[in-house]
Amino acid sequence: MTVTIYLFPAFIYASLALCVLLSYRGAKIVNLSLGSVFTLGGYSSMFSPLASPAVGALIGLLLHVCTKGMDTGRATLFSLGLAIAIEEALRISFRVEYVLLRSHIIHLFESKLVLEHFLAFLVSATFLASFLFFELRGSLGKLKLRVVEEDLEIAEIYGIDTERVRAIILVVSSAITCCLGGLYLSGRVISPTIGWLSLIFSCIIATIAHAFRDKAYILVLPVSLGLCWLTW
Amino acid sequence: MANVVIFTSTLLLLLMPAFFDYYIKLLASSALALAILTISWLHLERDLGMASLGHSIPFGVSAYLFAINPSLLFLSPLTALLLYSLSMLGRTLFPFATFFLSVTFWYLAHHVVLGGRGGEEGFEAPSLDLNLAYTLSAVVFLLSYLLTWKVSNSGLGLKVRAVRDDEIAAKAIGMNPEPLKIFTFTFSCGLASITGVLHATIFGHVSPDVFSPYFSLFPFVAAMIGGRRLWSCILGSYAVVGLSWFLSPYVPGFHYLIYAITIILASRAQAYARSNRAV
Repeated sequence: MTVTIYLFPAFIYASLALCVLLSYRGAKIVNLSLGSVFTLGGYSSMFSPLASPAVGALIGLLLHVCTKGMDTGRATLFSLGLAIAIEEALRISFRVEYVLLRSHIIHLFESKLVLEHFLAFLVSATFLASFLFFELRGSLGKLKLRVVEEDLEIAEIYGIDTERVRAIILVVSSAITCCLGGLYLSGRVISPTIGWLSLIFSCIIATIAHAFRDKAYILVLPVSLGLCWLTW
Repeated sequence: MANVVIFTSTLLLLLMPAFFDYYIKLLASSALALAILTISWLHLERDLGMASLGHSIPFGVSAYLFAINPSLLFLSPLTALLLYSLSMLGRTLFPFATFFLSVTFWYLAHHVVLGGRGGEEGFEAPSLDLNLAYTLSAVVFLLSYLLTWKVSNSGLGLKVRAVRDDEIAAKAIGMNPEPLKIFTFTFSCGLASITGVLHATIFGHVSPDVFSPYFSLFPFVAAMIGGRRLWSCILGSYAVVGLSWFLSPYVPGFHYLIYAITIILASRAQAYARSNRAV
């Protein structure tokens, strides 16, 4: 029981916070569409569980293309418009305010678990672990990301394709968020505005982690665990 | 000539609904109240360069306080301090920080329960006869328009704009920017608070939705549609309220479609974040 209501959300919110942090530091945008992308994942999982990452990646690509060359303020404003557009598209398509998503129950270690939530936990744990590996390994990719975070102009002088880095960040973060939404919202009654709360909670985690500068990516999970424990 | 046309059309918009039925009058009252909210938002955005996307906070808090107990309204100026403290994040992050805060208030308001009242359903508020409420809205609209215009064009307004354009230069010529900022936030949030009370009086009910993105983004959208001028707030406000109420039966939540389109276009328009137009 403790695992489902404390540990699972902590991993999932840590992944969302990592997406928010990556978008802000690497793609120079406070991606406000992530909340709606999370919700969109829930709705798209009604058709196929595999649809949500693809839909998320498409939204990320759209955001990248439309905000190319914009400063942080304008790009963030665009992402807010996109978030509201996604919400409204869901409202128009489904014509009902609330939708119940189906889920499957499994028994693991003598406790009942929602299969989709367990899968969401696995996806987020894999995402966090692979990013931690990427961070600790000290690869060229990590160095490129650091330079892009510090200064875009210097990054371009060094020959880094900043647009490509930005596109990868936005596509991957949207795909992961949408995938997590598709899995974690299963078994719940959802509405088009349900993603806002998750986004706000993730932003709080990301803001606290961001205060630790270079260690931010590594500290996302401990901060999320701490906050989930406090709010539980 | 242009001023005469503007004055006449504003006067027509103010007078016309008085001759229509209950529904139109209710719509017009709501649009007028939201036009005042837009004026308060525009004052902050143009004079100080702070585009708040959380003006639903002073609006909603005062509506809630009025519904719970009108004697608690003295607490509403605290919202000005709250928004002012967020302004320290800088102009780029301020709009989104205020928006996050307003969404947080929206969720928290669902948990405000006092004496078995509140929650998702909200609170009943003292209401007025609709004719009286409409007249009151029109009078408050005119007064806030004139007051904002007067403040913006006074010496104080000039100092505030100097702080907006270059804070360091303003300090160099002996100005203290903080009191000027606090004044502008208090003035703007004060007007938004009056609008909240007006809104509660018109509908006789306050629910958590007063903090929803509908209200937090309304001034931004209405100002963008109206061309970011004080007098055109009423046009933008009437356009958004009218379109969303009349078209909602066909397209659910039609106002969000208007919001999405306006915000996306605003992010690409040159007018966004350029705060140097004449009143």
